[in-house]
Amino acid sequence: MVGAYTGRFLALACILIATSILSVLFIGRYATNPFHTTSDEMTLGIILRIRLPRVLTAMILGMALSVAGVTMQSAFKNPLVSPEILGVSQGAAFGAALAILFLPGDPLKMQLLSAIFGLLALLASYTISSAIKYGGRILRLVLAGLAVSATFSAGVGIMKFMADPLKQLPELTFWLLGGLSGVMWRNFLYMAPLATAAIAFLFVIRWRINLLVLDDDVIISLGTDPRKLRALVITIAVIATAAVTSVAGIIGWIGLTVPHICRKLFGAENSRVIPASIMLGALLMTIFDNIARAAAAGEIPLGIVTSLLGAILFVLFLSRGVPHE
Amino acid sequence: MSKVVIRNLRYRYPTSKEDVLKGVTLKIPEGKVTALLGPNGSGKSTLFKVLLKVLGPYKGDIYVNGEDLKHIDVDVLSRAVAWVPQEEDSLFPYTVLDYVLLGRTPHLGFFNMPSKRDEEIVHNVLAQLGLSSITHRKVPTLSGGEKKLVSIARALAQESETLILDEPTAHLDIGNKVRVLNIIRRMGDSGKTVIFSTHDPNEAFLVADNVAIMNGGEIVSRGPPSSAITGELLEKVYGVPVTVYRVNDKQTLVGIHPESFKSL
Repeated sequence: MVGAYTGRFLALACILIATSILSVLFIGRYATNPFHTTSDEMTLGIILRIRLPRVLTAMILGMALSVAGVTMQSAFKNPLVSPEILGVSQGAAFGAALAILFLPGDPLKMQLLSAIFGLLALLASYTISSAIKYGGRILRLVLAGLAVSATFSAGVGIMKFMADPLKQLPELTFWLLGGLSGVMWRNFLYMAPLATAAIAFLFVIRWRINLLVLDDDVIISLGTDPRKLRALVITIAVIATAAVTSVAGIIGWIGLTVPHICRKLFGAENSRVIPASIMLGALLMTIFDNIARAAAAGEIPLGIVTSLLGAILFVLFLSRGVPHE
Repeated sequence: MSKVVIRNLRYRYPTSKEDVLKGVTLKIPEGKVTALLGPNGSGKSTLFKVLLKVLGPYKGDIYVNGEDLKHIDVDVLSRAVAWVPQEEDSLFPYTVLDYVLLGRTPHLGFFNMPSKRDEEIVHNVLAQLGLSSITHRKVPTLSGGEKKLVSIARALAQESETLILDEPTAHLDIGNKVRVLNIIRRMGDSGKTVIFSTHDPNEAFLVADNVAIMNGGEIVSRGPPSSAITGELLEKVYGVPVTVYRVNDKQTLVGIHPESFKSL
C-alpha cells in the first residue's frame, strides 16, 4: 500500500516539476526560446519577471485552495464542503470590491480588505449558526454560511451597481471572475508568506485533522477538544484562502475537486490526502493557468477555466468506480 | 477497590427544566464487568457522557482512579477511560487500519504522527478481535457488526484500563451480539474494568459480574445479576409483565410468559 502511494505521489511531483518548468520557459503569448535566454534580455525578462512569479503564484494558489478544501471537509465532516460554503469567498470578494471602489490603486489594501472580510464572513457564519434553532451543529453552520454568502453576494451586487462603468466595473468584474494576469513579484510576495505558513501548518498537523471526522463525543474521549481543534484548523484554512483570493480573485471548484480526486487515488486518511492535494492542487492550477493565458488570443479569466474544467473533472471522478471501493 | 465512584450525581441538560440524572450513586469495581441496565430514556447514555466529560457541569462527585473528575483534563482522562459510542457515522472512506489508529491519539503529541509501534499495537488489537482480514477494507463498506468491532478496536487501541460501551449490541443480529458480548467478557477476564449499557437483562446475566439497574435517572438496584435482577423489579422498570426463569445454577433467562403476553 505504501509503495503504491509513494509511487503515485512521486509521479505527481515529477509531472508538477516538469509542467512548471515548461510553463515558465515556453508557454505564453510572447514566443520564447529558452536556449537563448542568456543572450536575449527580453526573453530573460519575460521569464524571470512575468512568468516565474505567475507560475509560482498559481502553484501556491492551487496548494492553498486544495489544502483548505481538505481541511474544511474534515472539519465539517462533509466531503462536499468548500470555502464557498462558509461565505469566505463572497466575504473576500466583498472586501476586494470595497477596495476597488473606495481605495483604488492600492493592491495591498485590497488584499488586506478581502482577507479581513473573508474572516469576518467566517465569524458571522459561526455566530449566526448558534442563533439558528434548526438542525444539528454542522447543518446550522452550513445554513448560516449560505445566509452570510448571500448577504455578501448582495453587497458585491451593490458595489457593481455603484461602480463607475468605465473604470471600476471592468476591474471588479475581472477580479470576481478570478485570474493571475498582471501578477508580479510584488503581488507574490504580499501573498506567499502568509499562504505558505498556513499551508505548512496544516501539513504538519495533517494526521490530527483526521480526528475531526469522528463524532464530537469520540473526539473528547480521545483527549481532544473538538471545538478548539475545529476552530483552529478552520481559521488557518480561511487565512490560506483569503491570502490567495486577495491576489487571484474568486477561483472556484479547486477546493472541492482536488480533495475528491486525491481521496479516490490515495484513500481518505489526511496524512496521505493533504500532501497529495498540495501536489495535485499546484499541478492542476499551473495547467489551468497555462490554458487561461495561452489557449485563446486574449487572456481567459482563470476562474472560468477552473470552474469549467474543475467541475468536469469532479463529475468524471465521482462517476468512475464504486463509491468507497 | 473501585475504579469509578459516583456520589449523588445530578445532571440537567441546558434546555431542560428537569434533572436527567437525579442523584446517582454507584461504585464501579476494578477489573470487573458492570452492566448498566435500564429502559430507553432512563439516563444511561447521559451518565456515560458526564463520566467522559462530554456533558457538564454536574452536581455531586465523580472520582476516577481516586481523582476528582472535575480536576482531570480530558487528555489525561482519555488515557484512563476509552469509549465506544452506540452509533458512528463514517462518510469518509477510511481503512480499518487508519480508523483504529486514531485510537492512539491520547498517546501522541499534537504535532506527532503514529509510529511503527502504534501500528503494531493496532495490528495486535485487530488480531485479538479477529479483524486482521479486514485491515485494509474501507469502513463505510463494512457490515453493522464489523463496524461495531472496529469501534471497539479503536477503544482498545487507547490502552486504557477502563472501557465504557454504550449499548454495544444495539441493532446487531444474534451472531454479532454474541461475538461482542464474548469480547466484553474476555476484556473483563483480562483485568480491564468494563462498563456497558443494555436494555436486555439476559446480556447482564450472560457476561456481567455486577449490574446496576437505572430507571428515571436513578439507580434502583445494584449487585450481582442473580440478586439485583428480579421479575418484580423488571416489571416495574419496563412496565410489562416479565418473568425471570432460573434454568439451572449457571443459566438464567428473562422473558415474557405467553399468558402474560396475551393479557397485555
